[in-house]
Amino acid sequence: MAILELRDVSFKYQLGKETVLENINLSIEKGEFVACIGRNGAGKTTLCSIMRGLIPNFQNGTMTGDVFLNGQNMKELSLGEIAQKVGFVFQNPFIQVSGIKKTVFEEIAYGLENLGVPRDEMIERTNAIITQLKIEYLRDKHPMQLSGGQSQRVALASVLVMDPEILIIDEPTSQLDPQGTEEVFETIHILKQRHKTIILVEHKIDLVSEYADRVILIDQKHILLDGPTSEILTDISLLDHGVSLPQVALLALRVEEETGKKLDRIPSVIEDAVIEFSKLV
Amino acid sequence: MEAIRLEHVTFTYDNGFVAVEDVSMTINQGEKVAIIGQNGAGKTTTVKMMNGLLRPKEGKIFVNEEDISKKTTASVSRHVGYVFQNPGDQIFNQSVYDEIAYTLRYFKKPKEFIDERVRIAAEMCELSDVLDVNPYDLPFSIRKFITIAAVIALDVEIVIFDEPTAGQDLFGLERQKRIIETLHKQGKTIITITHDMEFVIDNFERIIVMANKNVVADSSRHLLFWDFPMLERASLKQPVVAQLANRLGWDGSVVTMEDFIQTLCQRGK
Amino acid sequence: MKKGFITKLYPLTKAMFVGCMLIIGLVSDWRVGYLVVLPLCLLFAIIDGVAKPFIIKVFGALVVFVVFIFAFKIFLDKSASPIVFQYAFITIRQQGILDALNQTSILTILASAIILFFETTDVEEFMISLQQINMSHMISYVILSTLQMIPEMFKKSKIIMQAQQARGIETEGNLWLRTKAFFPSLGPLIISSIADLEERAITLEVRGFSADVKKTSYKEINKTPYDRTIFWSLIAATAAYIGWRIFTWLF
Repeated sequence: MAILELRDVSFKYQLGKETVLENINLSIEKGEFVACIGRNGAGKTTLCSIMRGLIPNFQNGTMTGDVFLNGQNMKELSLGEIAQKVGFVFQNPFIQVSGIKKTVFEEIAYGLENLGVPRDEMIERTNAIITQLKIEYLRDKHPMQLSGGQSQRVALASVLVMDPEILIIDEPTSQLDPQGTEEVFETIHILKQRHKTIILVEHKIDLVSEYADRVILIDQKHILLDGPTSEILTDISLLDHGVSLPQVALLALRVEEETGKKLDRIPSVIEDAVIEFSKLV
Repeated sequence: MEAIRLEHVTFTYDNGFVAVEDVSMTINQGEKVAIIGQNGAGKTTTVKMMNGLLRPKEGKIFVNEEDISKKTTASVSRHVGYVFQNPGDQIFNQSVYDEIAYTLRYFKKPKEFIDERVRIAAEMCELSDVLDVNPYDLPFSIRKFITIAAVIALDVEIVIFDEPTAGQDLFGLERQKRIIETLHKQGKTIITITHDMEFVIDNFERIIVMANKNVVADSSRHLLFWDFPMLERASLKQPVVAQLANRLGWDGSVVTMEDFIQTLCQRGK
Repeated sequence: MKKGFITKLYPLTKAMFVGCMLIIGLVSDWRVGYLVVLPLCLLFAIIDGVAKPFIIKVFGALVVFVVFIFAFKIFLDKSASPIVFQYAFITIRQQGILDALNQTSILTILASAIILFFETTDVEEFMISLQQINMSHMISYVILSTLQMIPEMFKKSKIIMQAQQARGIETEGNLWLRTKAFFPSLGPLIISSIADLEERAITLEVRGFSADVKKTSYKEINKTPYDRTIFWSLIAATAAYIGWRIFTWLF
């Protein structure tokens, strides 16, 4: 059974002139790492909001179709249940700080406080997450004094401590420098190793190609492409939809076009590129 | 003529923290320069001193060969335009037209003059179709271009871009590239702070690297990205194409895809 | 950091203090506000070592209002009461001063009590105590977000002023120039503060804020031995005071 399923979902913002998404059908299995790509304004964040139940509960608009979480229709779940089951991390690293906690430890525990988890269990789970995500060095720091990358790591921890079934991460590195980006992806790497179900929206396509198992492309209100990473990220039509290909794929396609040399396959990650290009020299 | 010159500039915050130490650089009129480096290296501080937003504790700054220590920030800004990273800090007018025209109206320029300038700037930023729209009805990435247009409308000689690629998709990056090329052809001096190595290689020949409050390198992209000790010091990675060439055992100066293809043909079977 | 006696008190006890002072102030004249409540709050602030921020904030909050109201009352006073001070065309009569004191007394009480409260109470502990009496999440949220918004707005306004300067708008210089530059910055400040507020509301939601369960807390806040006594004494004293006022008013 799919862990998350969207059936015939369409949505139009109240103040919008047109629908943003139409007839979206999507099924995600437990443990999948799905990347969602598309140009700005295509509807990626809207889709994430729908998957998290923020639409229709917190946004004005008309939504048709259903969202199923582990077989249960989201309309039948309470807000608290959704909050626990679907984690969400936003683009802006600094806005996810509650502002009322003085240490990162307490900041992470905040979600458990809201869910009414008994104190002993709260402490145990928070400690466990800190260890798992290797952020012991941040434990006693003040949440408002962290760098962008550190804030995002704490945001991820704060949401994971609630033990959600799915984690949706919306452009977590767009405001970060390379070091911050690396820190965030270190955490994402750990999550991948633990087979967490993850939906990631990202523009940094080279990183997407390294981590995602599956990629979906959103444009013109629909999911236009949906398939394994190495297949989708080497499809040159992506360029027409405002999405770049990984550098090595672009390079390979250019080499084929400009020199007439053919590669056995178009690589999407650098490891594969090394193999393929070695064959040519 | 020199556009910007920094002479032994040091900047200290009120709390005593030194952000930039003994930095010197000269950028000539019409040059395109990228300034790269880790967060905390001092890039933004350095660049904010170029238009007077921040004032150095020591050292001198010259814009168009004039010392700016006695000038107000606003007066320097008439020669040095600054495009902020977050457009939300700047935009407040009801329409894209008003936003672009704002400063010109503040200076009471004649209507035809303003109209002309707005039209040109909007065209360069591909905003001609949305001049009547409220900026907040447009997506974030388009708002970025509104702030760029506002700076272009002032016809400044020097333009500073602060992280222009953050949050942009492919179309946005291509639009930025076209704008930079047009400005360059017009003879403007362009300075960019960015983290996007591929964007840097695509658009800039001269690169200045900052690390730990100083300048650690100032040279061309071909030399820079194979200087491993320097890259290590500045905590920078090679761009992907260079990494690939490195892994294939090719020696050093492949940086762009053109370089790669050329070398491949030379070495090919 | 050693916590003062007042700071250690349970938040709701202190909130009761604020409430009582307000009620007392509503039925009293200026003497209670200026001669009792303000000095009392100042005394508590000194005891807990927060006198300096207390004085600065109370002064900041009151100076504009109080000065204006005083000026109005004094210069518009047409009564025949004794003259207290005279210089050229400025005549200050007793009645004017009394009126001004009475009108500003309640403001002074509010400012003193509320500022004392926030100087001696941790926001988080306040929210925990509200939860313990099952107060609605929405109210705690409104308090939380308002408190978060204020320092944020200060930070933002600085950035926005910089953005104005970078567009060639003079912000340095004489007062007229500064005022002219200030107004355009209100727009982006308000819009982005509201947008931030909306985003924050959603991020809180994602942390389970609207879960309909009784919340637990990591921090344990306890009542001191004195809380009960103080709490009920405040209620008793206020009730007695009101009783006395009614009594004297009726007879």
